[in-house]
Amino acid sequence: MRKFLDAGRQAGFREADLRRLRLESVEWQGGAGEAVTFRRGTSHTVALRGFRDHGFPVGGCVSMPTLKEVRRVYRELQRVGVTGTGTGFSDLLPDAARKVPLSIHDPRISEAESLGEEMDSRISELMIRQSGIELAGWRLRAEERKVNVANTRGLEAKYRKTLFSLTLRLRDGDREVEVEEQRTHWLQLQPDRLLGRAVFLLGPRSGRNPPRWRSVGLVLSPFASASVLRDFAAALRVSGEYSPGDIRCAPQVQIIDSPLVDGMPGSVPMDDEGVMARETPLVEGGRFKARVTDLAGAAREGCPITGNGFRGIADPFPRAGFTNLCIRPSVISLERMLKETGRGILITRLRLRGASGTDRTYGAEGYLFKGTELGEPVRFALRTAFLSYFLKIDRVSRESVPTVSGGISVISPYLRVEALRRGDEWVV
Amino acid sequence: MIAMAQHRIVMAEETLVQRIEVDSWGNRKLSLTRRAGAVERSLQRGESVQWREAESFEKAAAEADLHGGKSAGSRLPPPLDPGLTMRQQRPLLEALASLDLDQWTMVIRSFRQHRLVRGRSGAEHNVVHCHEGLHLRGRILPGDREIEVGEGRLPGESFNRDGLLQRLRGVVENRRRARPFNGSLSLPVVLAAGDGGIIWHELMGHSLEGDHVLSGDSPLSPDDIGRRVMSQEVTLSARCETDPFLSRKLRDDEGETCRHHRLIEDGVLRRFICDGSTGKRLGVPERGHARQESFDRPVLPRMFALYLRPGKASFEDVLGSVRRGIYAAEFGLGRVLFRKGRFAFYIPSAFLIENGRLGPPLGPVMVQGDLKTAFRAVSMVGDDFRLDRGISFCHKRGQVLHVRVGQPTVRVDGLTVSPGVAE
Repeated sequence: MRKFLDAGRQAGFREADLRRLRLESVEWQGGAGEAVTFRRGTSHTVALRGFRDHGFPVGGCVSMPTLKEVRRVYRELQRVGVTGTGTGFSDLLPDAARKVPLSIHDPRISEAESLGEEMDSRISELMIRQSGIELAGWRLRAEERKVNVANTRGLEAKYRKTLFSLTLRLRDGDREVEVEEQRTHWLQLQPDRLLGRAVFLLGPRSGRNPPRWRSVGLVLSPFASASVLRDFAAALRVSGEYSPGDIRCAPQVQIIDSPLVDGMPGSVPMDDEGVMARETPLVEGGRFKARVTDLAGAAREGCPITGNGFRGIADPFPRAGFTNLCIRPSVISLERMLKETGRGILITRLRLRGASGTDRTYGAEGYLFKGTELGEPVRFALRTAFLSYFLKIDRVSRESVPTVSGGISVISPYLRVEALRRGDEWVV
Repeated sequence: MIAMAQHRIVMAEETLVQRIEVDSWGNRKLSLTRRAGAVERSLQRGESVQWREAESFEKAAAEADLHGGKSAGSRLPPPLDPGLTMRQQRPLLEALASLDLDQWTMVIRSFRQHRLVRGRSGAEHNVVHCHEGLHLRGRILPGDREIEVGEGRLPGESFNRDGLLQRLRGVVENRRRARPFNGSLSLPVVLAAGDGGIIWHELMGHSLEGDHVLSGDSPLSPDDIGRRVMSQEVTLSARCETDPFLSRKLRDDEGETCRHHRLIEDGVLRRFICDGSTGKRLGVPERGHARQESFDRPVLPRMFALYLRPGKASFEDVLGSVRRGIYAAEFGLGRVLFRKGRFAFYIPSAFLIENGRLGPPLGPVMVQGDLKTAFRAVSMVGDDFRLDRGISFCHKRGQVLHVRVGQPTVRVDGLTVSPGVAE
């Protein structure tokens, strides 16, 4: 590592940093009546950057590099000349690491090759109990990541992380749902819980339009809430269209980016730039407080560093990404929330139908409820926008459910919002 | 020994990607990615795959016991010279800066990939894919949806900078002068020649892919072979002799060639798009369409290209046949919901057609419809066949691949057109 960084300095860069990723993965994929596909792979890449006094750094990524190859890449990168007139941000590179107590590695990864068979039989057994629902496919992936991060300012740090992912695709007639669960420990992956979630999301085969009330209390399930949060997540990243302080939110809503939750898929002790992980409050006390950022974004926008610069396997440059996006639960139970609402709709699933500016239109599915009694199934169109959605959340439950939505790890409780009817759709 | 070879496919790969990005804040980003690796697939009793990263193509080939890779380096054209490339595009950057956009980005991406494949027959084949793309992106106002135009080329060729700028100006003008309409209308849509072929790639091409047919997602089934599934005017082919990006003896990632290219002939379904295993499971002889983004991703049956063959009507005849409709000039992303039999397409730049003539700009529109209805709704096919501009990319199960499309001007009836955008 040190020699690689020295090669950067020798090529004429002021500072250099790198991330080495060694990834071992096994994966099984099966479906109804199909033979199981097994995949095993080993990846070893080094992503590096070279910083000059001015401008943006240059970056490279190579497979299993030798010192000779790294020198060649740095020389090649040096040939582009000046990369901008703005001030460089090499001063923001961290110069030291500290130990973070975080449980994200499961030694059972060493038995990974036997896990597929175990999961196949567990899923087959669980599917016997589901009448009328067909398993269209399943996928299990187990991986171990060994990450080293270093830079010429003195940082040298490493960590190991395991990740187990199970995906189920279920079908009920022409309705299909795909659900995914990710955990860092094998025993926390529960196929029965995931199957239950899939059946819940599939919901009833039919649903009518809800009664034409003028307004209604909507209770969003954690999965529905995660769908909206995923769609609005871009605004919580650096370069989003709103600045901290601009936006008012309901005081009940607290959203944090939390990399320090044991066992959760987004948890890491540091990001790919070596910035130590910390909790970042994004929405707090009725205000939009901060956005997650990588170092380049922090330098460009002059905002605080949050430690959210992450690279893909072969990406030379990190980008701002979330770790675990959490809506902080309150002390109110779901039961009390439903009772307080009186009558309304419990939304189980939201599917994005369209977007225009910050407006989003969803196809919503759920059940009418009166008190704590669920009634008949309903389907309707729900429209909301970033500014109004977070302002109109008036209740947050204490039951928090982790889920993965669009590749983002989201932990959300049940949320209540008030919706008004506009023609055929409900607007929040 | 021969029996063993029939169930094993081995591949070594080296990919070099260079990316140069210049933006309106004065940043220049340069990145260089070089990956090499090998993958071995055993197709006995299900599929067992093992892949591994390697230091170089030669090492990957040696580890995979492939022998034809000794001259690997010489098979790929030299990488771009970043300094020279930047100097060459300076006039474009100056022109971009003069467009009065809120922000803009220019991206040049060079892709070079060499693969050595030993397929079922045991023979080794070298496969080379090269592509260079220039993309201009920008926002007219803060918070607007980004506009984008681009062009692809083969290494050694030059970009049509003037043409690109003219297109970008056209899209900006279209957006600025747009007279958007309210609500959704059922109107005839005329798809521009060339890039408009991406619609048939999404709608019909993916419906023809063997994995979608096997899973029941596709609206087509093996029973449809020999039946009319599209309008009689439509002939879809997987090859075009004049396409410079695809050689005539193109091999897929299993080392196979596609022998018969006509997929739809005069509206009649002739064959599906298959790799070796989906072809076998469908009970059809077709293969030659196995593709994977890189050695560490699974092989899927996918298109290299899809062309809608020219018809007999002139461009003026096609346009003149429409009393009131939409002319789709640029094409964005599309989404097909197979199980619902619906699709939606984003058209970043559209014009109204009034009494057979191009009318005022409409800005961006969404075109939606029912898959099976759209297949049979092609009412006119022009004689002005054009290849796309070389920047069509296909996303499937997280893998992004360069594809080719082409078509003449085409009129499609009965689609729902609405203003705005969808994601």
